Amino acid sequence: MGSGNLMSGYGDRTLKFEKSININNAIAWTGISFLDLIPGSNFRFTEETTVNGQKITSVMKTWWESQVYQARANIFYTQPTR
Amino acid sequence: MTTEGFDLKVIVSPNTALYFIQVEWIATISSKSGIYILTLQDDSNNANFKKLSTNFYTERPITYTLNYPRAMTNPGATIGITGFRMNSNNARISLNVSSIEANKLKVTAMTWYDTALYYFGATILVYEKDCIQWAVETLCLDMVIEL
Repeated sequence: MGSGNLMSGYGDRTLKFEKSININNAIAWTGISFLDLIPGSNFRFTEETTVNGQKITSVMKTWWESQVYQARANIFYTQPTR
Repeated sequence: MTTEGFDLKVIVSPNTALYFIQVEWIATISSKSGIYILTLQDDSNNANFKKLSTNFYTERPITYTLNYPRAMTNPGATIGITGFRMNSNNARISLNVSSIEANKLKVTAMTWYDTALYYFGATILVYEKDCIQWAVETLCLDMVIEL
């Protein structure tokens, strides 16, 4: 479970998830699997995962009048070369 | 797709203005990595799918069976939505891998309440748990709305 707010307000709103992993510079893939939101005039939702050393960070974001009630994303990571 | 790269095709539904895209991608040689990439898409032209765009005010799941390119020993899987088309004041879509077997898996797609879902696309990663150093995390946001 991440921490943040994607529900209320009009500016950029983010929900951040961080985890330490035992792989250096892993390759990560992320996919949204659940959405329940009120888009408003435009549908606004992103989810981005980055890897830095042994830390994986994923950020969900919405903005303006879009309201996100529930969202779920899967993050798959593995070592970069095989 | 070639060994050097790939072309990415973005499809926008009629009467939709797309201002921004962001893509995360994974490229792998499946026979070496043990990671296989499956795709799934369906729409309301399929009679079984029609309940996702009708039959409002109930949960409407539909389940698909996908076979792997080869039998797996100890498979794992994860899924991501690649696109959708829906009509509602409230966008509601859920996709999950509902069962995993040695040679196939099941994906359940669902919408609920008054959302009309006309199309969805998904990518599924299937991998040998015993073959790679892997992990899957799930990031969740669950808001409790007080009226």
